[in-house]
Amino acid sequence: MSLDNLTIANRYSKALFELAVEKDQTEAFLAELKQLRQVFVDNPQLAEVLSGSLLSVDRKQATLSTLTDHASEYIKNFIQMLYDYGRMSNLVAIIDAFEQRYDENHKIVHAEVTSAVKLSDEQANAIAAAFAKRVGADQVKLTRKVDTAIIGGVIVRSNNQTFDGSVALQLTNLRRALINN
Amino acid sequence: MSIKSEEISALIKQQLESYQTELSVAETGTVTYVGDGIARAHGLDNALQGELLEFSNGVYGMVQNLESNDVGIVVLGDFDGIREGDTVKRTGRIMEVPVGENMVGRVVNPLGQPIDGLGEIKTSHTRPIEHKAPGIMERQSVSEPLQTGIKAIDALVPIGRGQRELIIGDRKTGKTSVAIDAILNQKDQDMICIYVAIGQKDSTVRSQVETLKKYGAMDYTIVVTAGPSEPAPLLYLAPYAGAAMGEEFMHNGKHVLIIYDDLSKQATAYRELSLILRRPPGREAYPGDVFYLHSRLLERAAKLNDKLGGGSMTALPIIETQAGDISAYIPTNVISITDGQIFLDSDSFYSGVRPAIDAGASVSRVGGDAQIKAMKSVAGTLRLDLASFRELESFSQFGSDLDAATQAKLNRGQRIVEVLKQPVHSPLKVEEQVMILYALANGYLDKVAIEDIARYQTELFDFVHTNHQDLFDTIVSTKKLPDADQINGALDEFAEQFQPSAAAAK
Repeated sequence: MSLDNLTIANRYSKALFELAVEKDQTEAFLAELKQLRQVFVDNPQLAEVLSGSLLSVDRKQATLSTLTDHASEYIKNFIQMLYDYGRMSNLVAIIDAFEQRYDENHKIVHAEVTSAVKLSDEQANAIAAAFAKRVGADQVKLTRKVDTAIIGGVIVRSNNQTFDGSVALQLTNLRRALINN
Repeated sequence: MSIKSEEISALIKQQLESYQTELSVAETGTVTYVGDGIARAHGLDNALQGELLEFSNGVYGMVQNLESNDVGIVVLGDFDGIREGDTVKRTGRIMEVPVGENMVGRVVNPLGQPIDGLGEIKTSHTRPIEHKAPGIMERQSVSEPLQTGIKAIDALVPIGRGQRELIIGDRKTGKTSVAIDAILNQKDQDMICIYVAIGQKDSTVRSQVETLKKYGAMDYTIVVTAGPSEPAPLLYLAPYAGAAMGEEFMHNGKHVLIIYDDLSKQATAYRELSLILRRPPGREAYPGDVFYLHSRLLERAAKLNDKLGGGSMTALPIIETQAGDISAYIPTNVISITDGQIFLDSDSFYSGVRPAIDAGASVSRVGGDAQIKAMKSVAGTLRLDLASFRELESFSQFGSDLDAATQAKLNRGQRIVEVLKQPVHSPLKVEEQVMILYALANGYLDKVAIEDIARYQTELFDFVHTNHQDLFDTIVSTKKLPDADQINGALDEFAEQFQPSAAAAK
């Protein structure tokens, strides 16, 4: 049975992250991997070409070397290994999983904030600080999103949890309370 | 009546005051797949098996599969409005249905919502639909009879309160009619009946409800229905919802009769959702736990001990067979779980023997203890007589030279078959059944022509009701046969005035 994307990402990222911790190079690894991911995100066909049989092996190896030429030793090995094992299509997922591990290790939490009006930097920082306190994180990285349908207040989504303080929800609840009684 | 705006605004004000705004914190996941009544969602790491989830469009779902990366959810309602990428929220609750007295007389769906257009059902409490069956110490053995009003059943395969008796047979052999007749006969018996229709055509359910109404049976009946157009999860849940409603009464010391019509359709619905949830298929493509599906449901039927109020729940599950094949997977499973089965035979049904109960293949494993003494004494040899008649019947077709004893046996056998016939929706009281079976066992019918037996029976009942009501009263009050002289006297008296019909005289 072939393994699914998530399982593969978990295994490879775990190995890579443990290596990074051992060599004490987590920041360097992450920075490099992020750039690598950018290349793959910008060229969606790249992974397909590398794992498919459209190109000859030599051509594929040549393409690969343009990626590995400027990479540090470990990342170079990492890319080469993924290619050898035919896991190029899982590369982005592996890097995502690596970043997740890095964040967990450094107590960084990603959160998406939805508000009815555009938040000022000041407001965003206040939310980030309050949220960090609530979930016990050292740093909160916010993504801001505007959705007028929520009328007012904010909704914070992070790590499979939703903190809903929107006016829209309050109105729905109020409506339910009035109808049910 | 005029609307007083001040009163209303005062009421709303009061409700608004009690309403508290609070930040809602919920664990959410993302839908990654939707289709055919099920959904898969990513996230929801702490979701529990059986937990209710809420989709962003307000539809509820129930957690069925917990896998390493996602959860499999059955959608309890319209899944058209759910899209990939929608959020789904944990509610921390398990599925419950409203229960209580106010449900009686209503037609509801498996979620307990009324679908009979008679308005909202106001119940004070709910029960979880999945509930552990009473344990060994909470039960007692079955001792009270449940009269179905059908002679062939009450005499040959008696059912006790708290028993599980399977009704099995091919399509169109009168399985539902037997069940409906059993409900009709519970009038004034202080019983609550629950009819769970699973995958039955809406038009059929409608006509069953009309029948129940016509005979005044809706006053003590709840109908739970999941029609064939509902998504499979609702069909799968309907019996459990019905059982939860019944348990409420049972634990309050009442007697309940619950009919699951039919469990083969529930098994099919469960197979459908199990396959879509990618559970490994087993025999006939049913999942491995299809036995447990039915056993945990039927175990909930029980006779509680006196300390717990002595309530009971009798279950009459129905299974449809294909071409009389009772060794198929689901029929064998359910036969082994139940305390006996009533086997309906399509050949007898089409040859006019209705109800088409196959006395040889039908058994009741506990009901004999629950039969009243009078019935026991008149029905004792019935099964044997019938069996030897069947044997002789096929044998006698080869030749006509039969000795007198064989002739007599054949004669008696034909009369037994005739007596056990009964029109639909006309259940008989136990004292009437005893009377006609007594007449049969003591040879009073041997001289009556076959064509006259049905008429003999109705006229006998009228005669005894008008002239010897004390005989019926004795059977009801003492549960024993009245004095033999008395009953023989009455039968002799009736035989004298009974006029054979012209057809029989020839």
